[in-house]
Amino acid sequence: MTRHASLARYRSRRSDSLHSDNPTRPDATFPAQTIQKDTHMTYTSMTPVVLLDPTSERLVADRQLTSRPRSLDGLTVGLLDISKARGDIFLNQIERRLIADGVKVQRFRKPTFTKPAPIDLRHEISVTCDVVIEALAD
Amino acid sequence: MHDISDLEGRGIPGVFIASNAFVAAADAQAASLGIAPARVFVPHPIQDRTEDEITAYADSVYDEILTRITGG
Repeated sequence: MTRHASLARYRSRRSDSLHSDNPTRPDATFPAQTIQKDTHMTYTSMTPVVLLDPTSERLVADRQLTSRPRSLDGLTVGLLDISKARGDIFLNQIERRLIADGVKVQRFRKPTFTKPAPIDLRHEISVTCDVVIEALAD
Repeated sequence: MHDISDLEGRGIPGVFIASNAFVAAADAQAASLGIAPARVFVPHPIQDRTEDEITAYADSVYDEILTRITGG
């Protein structure tokens, strides 16, 4: 099998896997003799080679946003600070405005902007707040 | 954006605020996550702005944040 034929075969199999419902299906399986012919690798003829695509390849199901309240009357707004420098100044003013409008506010701060908020923090927000405002990425 | 996506999944409506340098990145993340969280953008950059300027940014988008969080 030529190298081009081998690549075409791989791409065809990968395309199939993109539409597969089986998440464990390998993207491509090459008989060892194919690898031996097509590359400079030193696999023996008895070594099967399975190639897996490490990238996210599934189509993500679209999700709708949660329905919004008509107003913030009587609700608790969570202000989530992502811990970027000076984001607290921004949120301080949003908090002042919300309180001036008679809205109850709770403040939260995630440990680092480089990662999603810890699951415990997300849970705490979800059980203590009705809506959330997150800031400030720059 | 992952936080808002997660909280939306928990039934908590959310909006995030970023500087406008993140418009394209937010679009890409939305496509990747399969959800388009409500977002509001302010001018970039933030970190070298004065406190008064950042406060003014907050005031300038306050109504838009409320609109996004309440659905208008």
